[in-house]
Amino acid sequence: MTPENISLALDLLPPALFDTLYMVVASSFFALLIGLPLGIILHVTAKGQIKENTAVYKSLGMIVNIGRSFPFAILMIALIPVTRLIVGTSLGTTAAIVPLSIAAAPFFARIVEQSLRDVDRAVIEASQMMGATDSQIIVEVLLKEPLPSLVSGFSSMVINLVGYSAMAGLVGGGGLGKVAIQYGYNQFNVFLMISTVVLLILVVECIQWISTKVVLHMQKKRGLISHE
Amino acid sequence: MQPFVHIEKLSKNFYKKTEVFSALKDINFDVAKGEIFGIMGQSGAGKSTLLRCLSSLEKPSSGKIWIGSDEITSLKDHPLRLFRKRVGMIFQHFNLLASRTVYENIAFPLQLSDVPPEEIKKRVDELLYLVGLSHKKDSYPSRLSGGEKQRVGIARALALHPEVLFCDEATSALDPKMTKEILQLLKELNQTLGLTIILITHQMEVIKQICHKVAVIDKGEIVEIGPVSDVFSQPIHPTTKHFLQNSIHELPAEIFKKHGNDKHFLRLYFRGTSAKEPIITQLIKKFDISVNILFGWIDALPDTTIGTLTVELDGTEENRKKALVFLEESGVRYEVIQ
Repeated sequence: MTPENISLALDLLPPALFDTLYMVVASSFFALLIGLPLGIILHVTAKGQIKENTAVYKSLGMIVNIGRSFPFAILMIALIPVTRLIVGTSLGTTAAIVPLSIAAAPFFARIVEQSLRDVDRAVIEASQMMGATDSQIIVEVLLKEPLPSLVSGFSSMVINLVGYSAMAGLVGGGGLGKVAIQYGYNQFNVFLMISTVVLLILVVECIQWISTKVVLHMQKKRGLISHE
Repeated sequence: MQPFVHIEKLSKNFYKKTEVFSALKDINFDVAKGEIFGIMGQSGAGKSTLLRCLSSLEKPSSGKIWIGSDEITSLKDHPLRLFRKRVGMIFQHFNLLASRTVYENIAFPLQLSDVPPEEIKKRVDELLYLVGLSHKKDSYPSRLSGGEKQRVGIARALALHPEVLFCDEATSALDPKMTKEILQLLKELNQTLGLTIILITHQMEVIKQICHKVAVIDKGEIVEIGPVSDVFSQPIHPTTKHFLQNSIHELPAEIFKKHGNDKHFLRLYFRGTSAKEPIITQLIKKFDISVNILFGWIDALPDTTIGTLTVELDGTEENRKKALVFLEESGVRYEVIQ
């Protein structure tokens, strides 16, 4: 740990951390935007659910599975033309948001599907007996009942995105991953390497901490765990 | 009078690959307005399927169901939702929303129907008072006892002023004390609001305590139907007898095995005034036989008294025959236990 190293770290790490957060937040937002409706459609078209439709369920399920089985590094490269089309370039922090969102969306869709599946079918029938429309059931029952599990699923996805965003540094993305590769790996700067890893761990810890707080708060409110 | 609920030739088949299972076969019955109608059967008898058909959750394979002025088997989409808003339903496992407080659960059907907020508040407060839960309005369901949960279920079902209330094993998950309270509440609602109630249950207590009429269902068919006092004082079908015997803890079968030539066992069924007459004394006096009382049971239904008496007759064959004729003449129904 030399003074040069420390000043280099102070120069490089704050903007890199900002870039990482920017990528994670933006791609989480887009993954939510794509993954949530996808997950809802997957759930309601599944067998025995309110809009059962095997054709839609199977084809959508296949697309989601393909999206999930792509190794992220390969997906990034494969998506270069798409990224160029949307962002104008395939390099840099903003460009990385496209493959990150597309990688996370199918993962989140499955999480949504699983959470929604935990809603008791009998509760949905009770709502139907009150004359609820399908959209009322989706908004008022299917999304609100499993909210704690949706939140913790969402935070798992955000944490995954922190890892992916570091990988994006390999192929021209910015952020902490780029610093780790350029300075830590290529220039054998162990101090910088360790610093980026520690920062990434802190980011993950933060997200986990917030998620746990929010979920516990919701469960306490519902009386599912006792107040201390 | 036009029946309020009219069911005609209702049947329901379930298909599992090549196999057909008929859950309901040719069901016909009527329910009058303001009646509490009980459907009783063992699990798997088809009572749940029947109630699901009546409440529109299941489409019957054939037959018609009229509820009020609607023939509900043909309803779809919007008209179906309108029908569902005119009926209420409560469930064995309550099916409350865990994400909503007691107040919000009761408000839910009103919100779904776009009732203005100030009216929702008024109606929910009314209902909370009606079911005696005003003090729990901000609690979440997980903090309530089973009985309280069912009260919320009842309040929620009543929110839109239903014409009929369907009860799906509404007390089966409750302890005896809570069961009694919930039944009492249902009875009050029936009397004060004139609410028609159709319930299914496997608990004979439920039928005895609140129902006016009962239909006993077995293997998808109604095997006995009528006023509760008729059906229970003169049970004909084995299923009904089985229910009666279970509910009164009848003697174990081994006791009846020691048959001799000079005695036999009888089960006498009493109802109304005959339950109070000294039949046994007369038997002993008139026919020189001894009557050994093994087991007796008497129960008060809302409108009459019913009971059974299991006895051992001891005497000459001739006298025993005369005794049986006398019983018949006195209008006492009996059954010789084999």
